[in-house]
Amino acid sequence: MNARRLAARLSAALVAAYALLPLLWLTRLAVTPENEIHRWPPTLLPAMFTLGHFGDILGDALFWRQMGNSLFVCLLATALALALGALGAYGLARHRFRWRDGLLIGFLAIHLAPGVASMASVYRLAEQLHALNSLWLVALLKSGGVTLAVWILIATFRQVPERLEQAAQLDGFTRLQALRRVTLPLAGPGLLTAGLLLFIQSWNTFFLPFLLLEDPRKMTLTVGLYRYFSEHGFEQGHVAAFMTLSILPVVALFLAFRQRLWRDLEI
Amino acid sequence: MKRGFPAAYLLPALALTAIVWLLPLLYAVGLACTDAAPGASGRWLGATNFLRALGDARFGHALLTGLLYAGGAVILNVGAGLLLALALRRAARARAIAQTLLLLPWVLAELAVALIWRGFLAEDGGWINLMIGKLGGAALPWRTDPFLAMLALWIATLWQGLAFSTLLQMAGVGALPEHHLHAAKLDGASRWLIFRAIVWPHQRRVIAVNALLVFLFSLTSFALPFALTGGGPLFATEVPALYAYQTAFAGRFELGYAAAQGMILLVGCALLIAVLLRLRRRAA
Amino acid sequence: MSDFALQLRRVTRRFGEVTAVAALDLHLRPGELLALVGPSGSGKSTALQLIAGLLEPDDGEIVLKGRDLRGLPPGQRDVAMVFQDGALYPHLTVAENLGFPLRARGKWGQKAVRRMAERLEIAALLDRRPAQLSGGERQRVALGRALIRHPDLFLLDEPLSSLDLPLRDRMRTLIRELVEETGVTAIYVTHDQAEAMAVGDRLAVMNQGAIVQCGTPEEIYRRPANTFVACFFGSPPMNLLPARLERGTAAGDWGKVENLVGDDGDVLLGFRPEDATLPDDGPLRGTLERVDFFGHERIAAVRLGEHPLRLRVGNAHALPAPHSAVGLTIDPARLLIFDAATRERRS
Repeated sequence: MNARRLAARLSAALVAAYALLPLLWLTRLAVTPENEIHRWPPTLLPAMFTLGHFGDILGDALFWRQMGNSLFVCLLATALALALGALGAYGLARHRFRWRDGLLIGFLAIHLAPGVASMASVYRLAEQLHALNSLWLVALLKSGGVTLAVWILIATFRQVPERLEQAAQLDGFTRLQALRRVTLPLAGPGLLTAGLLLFIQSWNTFFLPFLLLEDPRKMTLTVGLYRYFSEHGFEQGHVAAFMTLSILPVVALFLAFRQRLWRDLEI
Repeated sequence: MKRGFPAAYLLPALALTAIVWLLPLLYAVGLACTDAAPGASGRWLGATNFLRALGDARFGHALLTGLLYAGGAVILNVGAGLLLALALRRAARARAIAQTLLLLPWVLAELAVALIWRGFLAEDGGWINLMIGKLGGAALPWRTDPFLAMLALWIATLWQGLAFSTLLQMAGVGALPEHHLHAAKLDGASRWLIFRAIVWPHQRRVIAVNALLVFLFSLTSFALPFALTGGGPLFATEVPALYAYQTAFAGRFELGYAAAQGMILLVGCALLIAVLLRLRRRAA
Repeated sequence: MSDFALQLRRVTRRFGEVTAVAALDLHLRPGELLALVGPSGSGKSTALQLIAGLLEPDDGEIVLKGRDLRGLPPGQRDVAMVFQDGALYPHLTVAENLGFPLRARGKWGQKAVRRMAERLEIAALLDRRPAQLSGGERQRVALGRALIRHPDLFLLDEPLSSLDLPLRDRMRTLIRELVEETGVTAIYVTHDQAEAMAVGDRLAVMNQGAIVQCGTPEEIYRRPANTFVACFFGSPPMNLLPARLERGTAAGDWGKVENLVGDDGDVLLGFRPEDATLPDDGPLRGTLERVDFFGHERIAAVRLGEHPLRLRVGNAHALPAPHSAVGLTIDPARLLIFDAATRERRS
């Protein structure tokens, strides 16, 4: 029995190391002075410590501009996808019609379609609309997450009993007021989960904005990270600091809501 | 439950979906039949681009590479996800820790994952090679050995995707018939027999859905191979999305031909999606 | 102007091929508590939703206190409803649930909420949420939420069916008291015939989308309009014996009963379990098959020819052993005569 316990502990430690070590490596890199990084022979832990890399990145106006671009794109795309997705999911949850199941499956299928299929045409369309380097266009394209929103929220709305909406209408509210006072608060947790997922997804998107945004001042932070890596690849400490800062918003969101995400995703 | 098509609710979402997803796809069909380039609409070529793809050895190689990458990713992700789900089934405390540990890589950008592993595996300063060095081994050439480059892709994919597969498998494992397991143990069945006779039949469909999803995502993935290996060494990790990108934007600027490659990929994926949806429907 | 608080005239509602409510007529006097009763699927819940405005009728009119309700949204009908599961808002406290209809009318009404809570003996629960309440407490909140705004009409859709039996008695009494105190006109839907008789001033019996009979509990029980009503009410239900009626004598393969009034023809004779005397040296001879003991009474299963009967027997009488022959007498004054073909009561 003891041998089995030991084996279990060991494999748990291995999984934990696998999950954590790359992140520890990144953190170490970000706080090590550049000349220490290249010291030979290399060491697992740094002999010196600095926050200078973070200071350099945070003092860079371009970083802040790209952070702002990312926020703009993500908030706009998430709001649009969530609003229209909630509306559509509510309609699907409360109505029965001939093509309902087909439509639902269509939403899921479209969501799974590969982005590379429309890579060239999206670029060419943007070019013809004179919308290269347009954050509005990127936000619009990312609001395509509406298909995911519909798929998640239909389950949410099915869990809110129609009976409660009827009760609220009998109590004297209009249909819209009943939605606002009863359905929306009860669907709140589901809306939050969907919103979080949409936001994280938009924040992390690379392919699309990488194709469409060529002007560094228009880039989102994830594209900016790649550009910084390409141009400053030898300043590993700075790249690590940039990367840490660029993933910080989603990591913070995740840590704040991890219980909810884990529970709601366990379908 | 009301009857009839709820147009007021559904039309906005449908319109957005049409503009953002369907319009570019339809446009891509047209584009695939031209020799368009950035800044030029090009001439109508008919099916030439599609025929060209069929005879293009590099495209065929990219497809095979994509299949190899996706197949390996499926085996690793689904296998590890199932094992972890089974291991965490009864361990509530370990599950709480696993939640945080596993989901953390999952929320990171694919690009960040690629760059992290690129550095972590690097020949100078990467911790893996450092540790091998401490143990007296020779550094592993992750970026110059074809197999090691593919292995790097698999390791990074598993690192990011483990949470997803584990979550999916847990949903099924949570519903394992407890009394069957007890009965089998009392009957003296071995672990392998218990897995084959009880876990596998019960979990089969979840495994299939999980496998198809991982396969779809990996087959068409771009950011991870782009930033981790760049398709190299030589073409060892050039997956279809990378080749299409190279065709359209890196030196050749053949948007039409890239669109045709995308269309072929889309048809393949559509078949997989159809299988997936059929599985889902039967599960429901 | 009629004396009725609520009138339904020829109200019809179809779902595709199925007609759920067919040409329904219903009239309620002010302050009356009408029990709408019928088996499941008889259309009573649909009727209630039509009155509440949760469904629109295909045909017919609904008039409440002189107002035509057709086309009005539920919120403007001044109709309150208690659902089977209470339909409390899970994200609101008891106080907020009670005050919800007042808020819809732009009032706060904290005093009214407190007064209602005290009347319903739930004042201590005002800060709780529905998930922390027992089933009975939940239905009290639902009652309070419905009545707090003094509606013109009060609808109850199987309000007690999710409660335990002992609790049902107390809640039924509470509902009757509340309706009397507030003077509200109310419709109480249930599938339980005993509950309907206990709660209603009048009963309306529904079957297959139509009202079969309307009347006081006594009328329904004593003079059912047809064999459906006769067998739906009472436990055990009314006994029915097929017979041929000729010149005042009804005879069948089970024996005969004399001194009846009515035209000749094929009939069904109906009598309640308590309307026969057993044991007796009367003309009818049957076999006593089984006796079930219920404390305050016994129910005897008797076979008369091929026909099984259920008869109520007091505890005082001594009964012969099971499977032995027994004599019985049916009280001709209490006997009802139904037409064998139409199943309607003849007299």
